[in-house]
Amino acid sequence: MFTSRLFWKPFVYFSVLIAIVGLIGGLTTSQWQKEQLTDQLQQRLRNTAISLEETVRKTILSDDFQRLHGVIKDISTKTTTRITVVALDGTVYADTHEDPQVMENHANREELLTAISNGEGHSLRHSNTLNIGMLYYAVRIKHQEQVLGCVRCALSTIEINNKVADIQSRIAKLVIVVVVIGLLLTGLVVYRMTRPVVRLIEEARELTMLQLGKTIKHGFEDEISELGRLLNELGSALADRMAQLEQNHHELLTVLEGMDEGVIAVDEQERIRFANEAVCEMFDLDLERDQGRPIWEVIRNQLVETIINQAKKTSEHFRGEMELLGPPTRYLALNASAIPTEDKDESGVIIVVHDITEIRRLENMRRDFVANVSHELKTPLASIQAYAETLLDGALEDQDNNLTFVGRIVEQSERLNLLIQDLLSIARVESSTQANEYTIVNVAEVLEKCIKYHQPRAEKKSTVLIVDHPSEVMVYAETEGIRQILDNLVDNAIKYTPEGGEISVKIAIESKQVLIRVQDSGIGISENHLQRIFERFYRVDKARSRELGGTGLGLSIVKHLVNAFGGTIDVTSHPESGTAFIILLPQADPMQSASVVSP
Amino acid sequence: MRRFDQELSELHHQLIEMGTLAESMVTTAVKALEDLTQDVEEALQTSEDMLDEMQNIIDKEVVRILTVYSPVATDLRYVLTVSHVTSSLERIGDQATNVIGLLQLMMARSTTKPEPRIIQMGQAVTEMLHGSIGAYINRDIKEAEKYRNRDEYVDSLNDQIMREVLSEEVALEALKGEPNIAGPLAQILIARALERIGDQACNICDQVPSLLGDNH
Repeated sequence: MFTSRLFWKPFVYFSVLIAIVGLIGGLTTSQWQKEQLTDQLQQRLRNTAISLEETVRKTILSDDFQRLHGVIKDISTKTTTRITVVALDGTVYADTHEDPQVMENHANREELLTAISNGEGHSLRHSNTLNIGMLYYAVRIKHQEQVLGCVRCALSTIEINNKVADIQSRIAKLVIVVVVIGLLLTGLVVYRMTRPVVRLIEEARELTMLQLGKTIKHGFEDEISELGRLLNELGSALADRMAQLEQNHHELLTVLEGMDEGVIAVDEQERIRFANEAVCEMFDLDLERDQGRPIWEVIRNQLVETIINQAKKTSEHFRGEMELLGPPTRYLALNASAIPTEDKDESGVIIVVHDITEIRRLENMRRDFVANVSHELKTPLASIQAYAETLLDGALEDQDNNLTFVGRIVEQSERLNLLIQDLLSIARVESSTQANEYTIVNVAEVLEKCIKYHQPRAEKKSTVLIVDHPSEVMVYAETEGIRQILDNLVDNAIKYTPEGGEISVKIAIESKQVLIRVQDSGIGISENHLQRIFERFYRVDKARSRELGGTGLGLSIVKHLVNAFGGTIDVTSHPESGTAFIILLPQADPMQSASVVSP
Repeated sequence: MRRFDQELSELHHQLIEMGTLAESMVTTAVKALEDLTQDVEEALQTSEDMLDEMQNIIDKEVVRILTVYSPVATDLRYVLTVSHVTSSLERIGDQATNVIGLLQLMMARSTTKPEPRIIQMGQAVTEMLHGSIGAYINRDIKEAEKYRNRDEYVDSLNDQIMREVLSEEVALEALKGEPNIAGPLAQILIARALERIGDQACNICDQVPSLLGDNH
């Protein structure tokens, strides 16, 4: 409060005003009082002098100065007045305080001169005789038009001064009291007037510091309280807006954080303003540490720098792809665009980062697939063509070999057929799940048929086939699909198990899941190939696989089918102990066969 | 921002740009070792020229800042380290260009492929360089220490390569004057170039304590 200029300014003005008024009032009053007093005393002196006039005239006429002296002495003592009787020529006849013999001639005294010419005269001056300030009043004494002299009464100014000082000190005390009371009242009034304003300012300051919850209390109904109420309204409106903004910000942040794509925003000086979790993970950023740092200091990459500069310059979208050294190496696609601002010269940039590693991988796979298919189709076709041309060139007549050649042609065309069928089934499985052909399939039954089919080949290699399954294992699937899965796995197992090996096919039911496990004691698959064996045309050992008559599509088909039936396939392998494929399929409840939904 | 601060920040930016360029050169060279790419030599040469140009500009700027502003304390320490770092970066660029030159020679003169340890070395050096520049920029003495210690690993790989590639047979072949030693020789030289890149990365790490002053 007492640091408030608003308080001190009017208070000081009013105080000075009151002090000046008090001073002028005091001075004027004391001056007036002094004049009043002097007038009164003069009147008294005049009265004394006039009352003495008769006596003095008589004594002057009779020259009885002894008596005159006695009379004036008597009056002088009673009235504390000095009385002097002076002749027209200035000679002092009598005086109450001095011996007239020793007194100098009084002809030049101002009051006497005035009295002789006008009848009465007065003056306030220093007395040479008594050597003090005196107030004199002189009255002319006439006898039958002849001026005899003057009687003069005088009072010491000490007395007057004392009286005046007394009055002045009273007036001064009064003025001080009035001024003090005035100051107190002024202070109170100014305080009452400025206090609400000061409080309003303080609370408005809190408002600017965004402590929006506060409301300003106001007292009387006046303009200031109206202002307070308006500020309250402003505050609550601001609080609403802030809350709304906060919410928007929060929503936006949640969306950005939830994105798989990385988002990073930089300001016009390329300092990082925002980076979401995905981008932090990609570029190994720590937002707490790196926020506000220039992006060229944190992500040191030429491409990032280039596209930011281009986007800033042209306010267009810019795209770039970069390789982020790993491990594992990742491919990122960056999209930069300028953040539009009012000021066209300077603008921030927002960069969206897509991780395109997977897309790249798929692109490569597709490219490989086309190349592979062409290659796989070409090989048997080339053989057929070669044998047919040989036959045409005359081998047809060669009785020893012509049948062998035709046999080879048939063999190769069978292989071609097999390949095309595999491709077709892959395409079929991939393009649609064909749920309408799904029925409840007893896997055990299909397995039995499959084993019966493969038994002779296994026996030929003296491989032991161990089969273990419950009598009824129901899954909701396609019979042909299940057959293909089991066929492929058992076929592979026989192919890659050396003579005298052992293959076990087990089916079990574990917590509503059908578990099919095909384990061989074959050559196994090394770790770096395991991830890729389900890819189309992926072969661990290219020469060997083709020699064994594989198309390179078997496991790919198995995986697609298992996925289509809502299951999973997993593989574990050790080079010494062989490979195990484990398939999990959801078990179908035979009681609900009619209402089973597609997986 | 004061004019001095602005110019210092600009210098910092240029230095980082140079670091990024040197880093990308090393990455390109190491990738070429892995993939045996042929067509990077020209691009690398352009980068090398740019690197030299950048070194010139930055060094001039350092002298100018020192004379015009006479910086003190942290700023002075920083400006003084900048020249060291640019010369290290410039040498790193040279060595990266060397690696590519040697790889071309090796592929032209022999059927030898860079052996796995060279690629390991290359990867270690790439990581080391990235870490060192990062430690310098972030003034992180612990990181600097960490990446400096990687040099031992790089050196040991280099020693292994030296010992094994320059085996007795190779030495014998060389003695007999057979032309077939181009491969092993190139391997050794590539390893040495990579080792030097590692050394320069160490030099950059060594600037970090100077940045922070003696009391650290």
